[in-house]
Amino acid sequence: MSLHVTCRIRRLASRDQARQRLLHIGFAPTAQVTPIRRSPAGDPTAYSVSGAVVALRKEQADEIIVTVNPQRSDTGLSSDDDILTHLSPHSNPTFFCPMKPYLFNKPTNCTRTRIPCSLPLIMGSRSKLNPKYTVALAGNPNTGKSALFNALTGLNQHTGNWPGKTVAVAEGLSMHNGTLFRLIDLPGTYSLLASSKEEEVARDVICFGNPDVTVVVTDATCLKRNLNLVMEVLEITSKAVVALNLVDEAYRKKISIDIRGLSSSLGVPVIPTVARQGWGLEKLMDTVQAVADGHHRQNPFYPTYHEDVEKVVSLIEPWIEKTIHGNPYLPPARWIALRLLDGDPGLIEELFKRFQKASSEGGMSA
Amino acid sequence: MMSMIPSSLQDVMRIVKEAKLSSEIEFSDAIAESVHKSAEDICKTNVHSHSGYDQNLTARLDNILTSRLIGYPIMILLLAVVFWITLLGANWPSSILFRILFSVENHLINFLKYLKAPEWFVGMTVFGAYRSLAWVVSVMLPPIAIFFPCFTLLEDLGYLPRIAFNLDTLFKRVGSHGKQALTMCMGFGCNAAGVVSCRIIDSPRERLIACLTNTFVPCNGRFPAIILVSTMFLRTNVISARGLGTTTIWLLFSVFLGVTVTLIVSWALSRTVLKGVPSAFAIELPPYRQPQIAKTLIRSFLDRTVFVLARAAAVAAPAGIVTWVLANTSFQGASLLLRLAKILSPLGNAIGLDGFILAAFLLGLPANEIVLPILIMGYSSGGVIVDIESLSAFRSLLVSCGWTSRTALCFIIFSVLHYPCATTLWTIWHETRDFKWTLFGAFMPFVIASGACFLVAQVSLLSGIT
Repeated sequence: MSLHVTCRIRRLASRDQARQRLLHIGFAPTAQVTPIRRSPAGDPTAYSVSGAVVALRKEQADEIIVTVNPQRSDTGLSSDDDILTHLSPHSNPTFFCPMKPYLFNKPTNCTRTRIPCSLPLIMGSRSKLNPKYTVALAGNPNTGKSALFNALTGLNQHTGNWPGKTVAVAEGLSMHNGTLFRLIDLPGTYSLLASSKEEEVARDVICFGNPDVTVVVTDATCLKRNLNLVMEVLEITSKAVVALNLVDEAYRKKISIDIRGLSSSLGVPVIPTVARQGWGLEKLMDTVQAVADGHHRQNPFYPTYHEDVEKVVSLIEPWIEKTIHGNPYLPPARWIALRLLDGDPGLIEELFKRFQKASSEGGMSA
Repeated sequence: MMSMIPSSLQDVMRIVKEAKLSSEIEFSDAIAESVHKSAEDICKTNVHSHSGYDQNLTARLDNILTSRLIGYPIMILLLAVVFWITLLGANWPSSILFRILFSVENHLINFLKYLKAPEWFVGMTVFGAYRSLAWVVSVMLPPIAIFFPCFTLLEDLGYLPRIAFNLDTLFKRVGSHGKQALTMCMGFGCNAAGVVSCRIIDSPRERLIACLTNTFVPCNGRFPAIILVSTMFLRTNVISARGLGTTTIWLLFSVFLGVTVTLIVSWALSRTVLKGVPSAFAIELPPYRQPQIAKTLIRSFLDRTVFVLARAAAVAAPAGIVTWVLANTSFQGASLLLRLAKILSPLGNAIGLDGFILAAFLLGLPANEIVLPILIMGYSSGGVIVDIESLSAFRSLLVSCGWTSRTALCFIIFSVLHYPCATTLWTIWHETRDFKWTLFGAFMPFVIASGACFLVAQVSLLSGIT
């Protein structure tokens, strides 16, 4: 592949974990990919794919089978090529672009009291501060989870512009409209089918921690890849809110997102935010509260799978359903069934452990 | 009921297995692709990108920062500039802090004498605890509080992933992961934090290599000592543009030494005990974002200040007390510290250092910040009268104890390469959960540091250069 020639991915020759990794990072079949630059030493090459720039070593890149796409082999460089091709040229002139950053309400500190989480410890009154709801912040790496967490809790988690900055879970408290929320800042993950240590941490919290609301922080500039995680989360919990972060950057990149449309497609609220500036956070917390209280009708989107997959799932799902007894600390039966088909060894192990616990408890009560 | 459950779970697994065998599609792929397809469909209907945007800033910056010709020189230049700013900025606040804190010392002594405190108490609190504390604050704090905000700016800009991108070839050749460069960048701040950040590396083998070699990056606590020693011994004029340049070069030298040894050790490990092929490398290069300069600088400055002060209070002061006690407890006519130094002196002399320096490094195990304060105390307990009012006085103390530029060079090399501090060792244990690797992580650098210093010392002795 020569630089700046846009190609379409046909299939991935790599297997198992390497393949999953590539898929989650955006190298999926039918996606368009443009090599845009090489490292000074010549080896890792940076590719523009799914709206992001990802560097791969040659060995991995060789396992991605592509066809050169003669229609769009021109300038390359724009990482938005794949989105552009889907756009019928101005077929929708009245397209609504609701994302002008100045439309956001700016936050005021007077409505949200900031309580550093260390405060109750110092005062020795941890029992008095009982957060009503637990909110987990999940999302792809480098989408601004920590910035959002800091803005909401008033804490100062370190942030940085590189994927992988947060490796451990941080917790903080945030008061909104008189309700105390416990916020959990998770390490960034491309997927919940964890392949690395910090992804495992994030997965365990979302799958087994039973947060009241999961906020999926997404990067508006490469939404397509971010939606993978959104969908995985939606399969686990319907109590999710999508925070569409970095909309100012998307605005600058002239990407317009139909937020209402996105919200109705996903079946969960989508709130545009700019965490770094603190924009849209009021609305986000309002929505989180509404979802936690159950005031919001959630109708999450579930992807449909290949018929062979669906057949097996429908075979084993009833038994799993019966076994877990609607245990809130376990993910839904359909999701467990899918993961059993997936064959992710670490997750299956974890599931078995919790499964046995759940079934023995179920057996006891029966 | 209880006995039925495992059998039905087995049934489920059997169904899954059979379905997998009979179906011609790979289930995990099919599932992942379906999710991806749905994401694409939703995007298609809701996300529209208008033409006319070119990724101007990021692309143009990347054209420079990762370019074939000047990608590497710019990386070195950036590091040099950050060092230079640090040296330039740290000089003045450092000397002011020094003067203030050491004038307070006299008042403190007088005050304690006024309270009729016993002699040993005055010695322990003032010469032990307070002096170490004042030393760490005045000498360590300014460079760190300047270096790290600059570094954080680069981090916020998005330069760090580019470092990994640029250097990946090197790491691939030695059989490790390009993200190791990121963990090394974190190691500048604190090796313990660097070891924790190794979690971003997926392959356990490569993660372990990154954990074990992180100590070769000069951290927060060693960095100012390297600055100081190179300032005093390895350049002529103290404050001049040329002098600053020389110190900058020495700092770059110590970083290169660290990086080179990291690469060599990584190579050796992946050829011997941690055999394996380099795993997949995929790193995202996020768009450059304009850092919130004022906020970042202030935040990072305060964070570092708090960090250094906390370390000074938690480690330097107690270690000062311990050292003072060691230096003033006589056993058969000589203080314990002197005895320790005497025991260590054959080894110390062989590697271009001396017994006191080795003893200081040994006692500095809890935190690298306190190596120099311990050294001063050791030397002054050895019969040398010291009244350290300025850095030049400190230099003459070291010279009177036999320091030459060879000692200084060996000190720098040893400081860069020697074993990690106790916190880092604990973190290595915590991350690996393996006692053997932790021990290896302590002794391997020590052997390498001694070897390197031995080589330098003997070569310079034989060739007659001092």
